[in-house]
Amino acid sequence: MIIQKIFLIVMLLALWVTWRRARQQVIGKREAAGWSVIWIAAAVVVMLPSVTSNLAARVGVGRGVDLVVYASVAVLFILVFKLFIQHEKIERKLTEAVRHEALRDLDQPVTPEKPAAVPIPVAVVKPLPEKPLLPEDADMSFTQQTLQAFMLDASLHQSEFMEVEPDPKNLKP
Amino acid sequence: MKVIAVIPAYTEATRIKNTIRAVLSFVDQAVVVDDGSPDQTGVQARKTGVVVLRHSINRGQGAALRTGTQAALRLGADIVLHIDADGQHDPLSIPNVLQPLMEKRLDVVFGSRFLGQEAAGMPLNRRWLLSGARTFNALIVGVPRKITDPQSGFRAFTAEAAERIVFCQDRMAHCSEILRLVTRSNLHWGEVPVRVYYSTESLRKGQKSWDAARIAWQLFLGVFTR
Repeated sequence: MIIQKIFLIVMLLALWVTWRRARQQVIGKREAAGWSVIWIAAAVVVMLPSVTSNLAARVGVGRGVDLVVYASVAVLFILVFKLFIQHEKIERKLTEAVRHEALRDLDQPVTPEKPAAVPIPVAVVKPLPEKPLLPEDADMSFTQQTLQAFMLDASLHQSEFMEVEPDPKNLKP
Repeated sequence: MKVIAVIPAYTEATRIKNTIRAVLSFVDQAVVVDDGSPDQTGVQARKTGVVVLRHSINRGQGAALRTGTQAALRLGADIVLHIDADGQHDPLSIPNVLQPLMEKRLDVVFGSRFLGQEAAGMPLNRRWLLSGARTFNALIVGVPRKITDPQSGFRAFTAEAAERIVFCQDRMAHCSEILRLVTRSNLHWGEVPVRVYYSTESLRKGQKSWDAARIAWQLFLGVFTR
């Protein structure tokens, strides 16, 4: 029958992918062996459906198909339960992460009395050039003085400039 | 002795300030854990000047209590008090809860609604449910039946006890979990009467009757999540 052939091909493909993944070390050898047993068992059941009837008779279930359905329900139940547990574990890890973040505030408590930092007005005329503004060996005290004078000028003409957050790159000591 | 109250709060913007002020008259310091409230709970709490920590995502009352407890221990608490943010727990009962710890008679004290001080406005079905929960705790969870209040959130630990009792239930099942952990340890524990007020608002927001099934399920999952 065609359905048997299709199933057989699918099982063989599954078997091939399983061992390919094992070779790629995506899954362990033991896990691959477990899956192989499932695929081979499924292939046997597909090719020789009477096997299930024999098994069913031995277990005490009326028909072979019934046994397959019962077994599937049991397997699904176990898988869903495993998912629940996994979900709970992830939830707890998430809580741990959220807690870690919350407790970080304890080290730097936010006090409402402290006024918020006021951004220092700095004039941004054009984007920074690719090259450094000053040579490496420039007199830094001179640079600082220039910067201070520039900032004073900027604060005097505040309304004429854009108000932006100070860029740490601009305030190099 | 330094007593720090831990107040987990979720969407309590209207009530949190009053609760904190009332609690602060009986303890040295308070830690509020804003459990990811979408409203102004954290902002309101900060106005009182207490330590406010924020869970960026809502993680449940148990998780918030644990965060708060860790914070209290870091802040050097000798006694950690757990109390609800909604004002259900009467702050006047705080000295009752703290006394056995102050006198070093006990390590953990649970506040109970069923030890004489009548809980104001407790609906009859809540009373039945709690009595059912007591039986469930005794038979399934393994909490001694002499514990009269199976779901009390009003409790206090010495610092040492708070360090040792590591509860992992994030949501409502933490009450039963803490009871189990404490009663199975060699810590000295006891119950004291506390007064609890039920208002329509707190009942609306508080635990629903079918939450009992949810708690049972969470405890069941907890057995396998270690």
